[in-house]
Amino acid sequence: MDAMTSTLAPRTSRRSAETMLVAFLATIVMLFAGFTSAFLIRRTGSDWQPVELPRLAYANTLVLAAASVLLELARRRASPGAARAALALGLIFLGGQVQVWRMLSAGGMFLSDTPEGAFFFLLSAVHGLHLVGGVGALVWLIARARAPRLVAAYWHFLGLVWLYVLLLLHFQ
Amino acid sequence: MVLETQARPAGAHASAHDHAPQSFLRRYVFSLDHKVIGLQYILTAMFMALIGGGLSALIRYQVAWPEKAVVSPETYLSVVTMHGTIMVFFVVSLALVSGFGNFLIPLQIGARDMAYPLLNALSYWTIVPGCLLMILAFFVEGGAAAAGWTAYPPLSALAEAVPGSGLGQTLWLLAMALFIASFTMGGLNYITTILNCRAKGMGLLRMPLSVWMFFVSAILGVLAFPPLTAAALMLLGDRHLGTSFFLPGGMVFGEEVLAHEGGTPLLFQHLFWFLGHPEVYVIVLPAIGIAFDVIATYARRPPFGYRMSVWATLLIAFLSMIVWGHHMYVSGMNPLVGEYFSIATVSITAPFSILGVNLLASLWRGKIRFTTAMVFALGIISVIGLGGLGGLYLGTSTSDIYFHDSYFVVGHFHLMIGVVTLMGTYAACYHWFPKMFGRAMNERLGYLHFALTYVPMMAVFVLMHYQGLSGMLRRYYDHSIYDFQTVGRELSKPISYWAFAAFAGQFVFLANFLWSALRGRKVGSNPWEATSMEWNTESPAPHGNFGAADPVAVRGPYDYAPEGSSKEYAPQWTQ
Repeated sequence: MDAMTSTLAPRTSRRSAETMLVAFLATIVMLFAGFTSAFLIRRTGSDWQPVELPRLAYANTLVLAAASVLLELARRRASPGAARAALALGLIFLGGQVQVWRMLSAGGMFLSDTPEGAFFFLLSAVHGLHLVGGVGALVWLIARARAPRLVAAYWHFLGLVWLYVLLLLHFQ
Repeated sequence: MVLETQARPAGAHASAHDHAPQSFLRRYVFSLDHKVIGLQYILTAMFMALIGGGLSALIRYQVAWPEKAVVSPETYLSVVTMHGTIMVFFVVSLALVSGFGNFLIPLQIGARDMAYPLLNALSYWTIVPGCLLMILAFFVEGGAAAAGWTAYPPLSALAEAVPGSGLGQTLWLLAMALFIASFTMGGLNYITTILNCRAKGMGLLRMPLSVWMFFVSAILGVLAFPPLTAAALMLLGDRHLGTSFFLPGGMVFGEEVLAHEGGTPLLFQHLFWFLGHPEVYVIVLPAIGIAFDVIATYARRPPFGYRMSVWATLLIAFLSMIVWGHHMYVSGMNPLVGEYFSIATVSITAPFSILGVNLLASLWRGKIRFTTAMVFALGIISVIGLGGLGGLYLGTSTSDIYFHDSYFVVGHFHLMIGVVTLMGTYAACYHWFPKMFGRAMNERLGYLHFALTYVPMMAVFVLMHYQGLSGMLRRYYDHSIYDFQTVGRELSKPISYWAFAAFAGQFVFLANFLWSALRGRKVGSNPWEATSMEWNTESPAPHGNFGAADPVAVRGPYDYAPEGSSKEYAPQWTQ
C-alpha cells in the first residue's frame, strides 16, 4: 500500500522503519519479560516437575540459526536465492515445532499436564506466531524482489529469543 | 509493521498531499488522515462515555438506595467491572491518548501526517470491534464480566465462578486484546512519528510539552502493556485449556474438587499491576501536558521550567514502572518488599510536585485570559494537588493497609485518573476545537459545563475520602446490613445527588460540541494568538496539514512576551 509511506521522504522513511522495528522489538522483550517472571514464580509451585525436551527441539534451533545465516547472506549480497532458502528453513522450523508439540503431547506432557510443559507450549507458540509474521514479511519482500534488511534483523532477533526460551527452560 | 518502506522519489513528499481523497467513505470513514482518525477516536470515546457514565449513575443509585435493589447483586458486580474497564480504556485512553494524541502530534511537530497512516487507520478499526464486544457482553448469558476491571483470578479464571465469569469474561478478554493491539499500534506510531517526522528546526526541546507527554506516555504504554498480554494469554490457558498458571490446588466448586494445581493468583496481580500502575501515567501525563500548553497560551507566559518539566516527566515514567506493588500491600507480601514499594512510591511525589509547582508558577505575572479551556486547565492544578495528597496515604503501606478497598481509594483514584484526565480532555477540546472545525465552542455553555463538572465531581470524590476514613468499603452491594458502615452511609445520598448533577452536566458539553461544530462562531487560523506550530495553518487544518511549503520551526513553542521585542508574542514559525 502506497499510503503506508506516502508522506515520507526516502531518508525519513528508512529511519522511521528502523525506529518502528526497535520499538516493536522492545514490546517483544517486555512480553517475554512478563513470561519470564511468571516462569520464575511458578516453578516454585509444589507440583513442578522438569520436562525433558525431545532432541528435535534442539535440531530445530540449528535450522533457525541456519536461516539467520542465509538471511544475512541475502542482506549483504542481495541474493534472492539465499532469501528463498531462508524462507524454506523458517517454514521447516515452524513445522518442526509442531512436531515437537506432538511428541510432547504423546508423552503425556500436554498443556494441562505439567506446568513446565505448559510454559513450553505457550512460549514456543508465542515465538512461533512472531516468526509467522517474519515469514509473511519475507514473502512480501521476495515477491517484490527486494533485499531483506530490517526483516533480517527481525529474524536474527527472533533467533535470539528462541535461544533465550531454551536456556530459560533448561537451566532452572 | 517491520516491513521496509519503499524508497520514493523526493518529489512525492509534497505532491502526495495535493489531492485529498474525494469520496465520502475515503474522506470521513476509512480515512488515513490523522485528524479524521483522531476525531473518530474522540467521537467513539464520547459514545462509550455515555455507557460508562450511565453505569456510574446506576452504581450511585444502588449504593445510596440499596433497599430499592435497582440491580441484582450479580449485575451490580458486572456494572462496577464494566464501568471501570470502559472508563479507563475505552473512554479516557481513547479520547485523550488515542484521540488528541493523533490529532495534535503531527500538527504540533510540523509533520504532514503520522509516519504510518495506514497503521494508524488500522489501529482505529481494531478498537471498533473491541468496543462492540464490550457492549455485546451485557447481552450474553450470565451478563458482562464481574471480576473487577483488574480481572483477578479465580473469578476471571473459572468460567463457573460467578455468572459474569462465563461468556461475559471471555468477551471482556477479547475486547481487551483488541484494545491492547490498537493501543500498541498507536504507541509505536507516535514514537516513530515524534522521533523522525519533526519539521525542520523542531528540535526535541522545541516541542510543546503536550507532545513530550504524549511521547513519554506512548513509551510507557508500549513497554507496560506486553506483560499484561502475557498474563492474559496465561489466563486464557487457565480458562479454556486446563493449565494452572494462576489457579492453586484444592479449589472446590459445588461438591467437586477442581483439577487445577500449584498456580498462584498473586502472580496475576503482579503482572496486572505492572501494567496497571504505568497506565495511570499513560493517561495522566498527556492531561498535564495539555494543561501546560493551555496555561501558557492564556497566561501569555512561557511555562515555568520547561526543561525541568521534561526531566521530571522522564523520571516519573521510570519510577512509575517500579512501584506497582503498592496496589497489593494486603495481598500477601514480604514486609521488606512492602517497605521498598512504599519508599519508591512516595519518591514519585518529588518529580510529580515539580510538574504541579511548574504549572502553578507558569501563572506568575501572567496576563490571564479566563477562557473555558483555561478554567479547565486551572482546575487540573487544584485536582492534582488534592488527589496527590490522598496518594501519599495510599502509597505508604502503614496507612494503606487501613485504607485498602475503602472509599478513600475510590475517591483518590477518581480524582487522579478520572477528573484530571477528563478536565485535560475538555481543556484540549475547547482549546483545539477551531483546528478541528474552523469554529469556536460557545464560551457561556463552556463556563456552565465547567461549573457542572468541577463542583459536583470535587464534591463526589472529596466526600468519598471521608467515607473511606470512616471505614466504608467499596464494591459492597448493600452497605446497610453492616453496622460499622452506618457512619459512612450518611454521605451516600449527598454523593449520589452530586454524581447525578455531574452526569447531567456532561450533556451541556455534548450539546455545545454538536452545536458549535455546525453553527459555532467562525474563527481564523490563530484565534487564541498562540505560538505553537499547529496555529500556523488554516482552521480547520487542511489535508496534509500545511500548505505547499514545509513548515520550519525557528524558535521554541512558547515565545510569549519575547525579550527585546515590542511584540506580545512570537509564533514558532515566523522569523
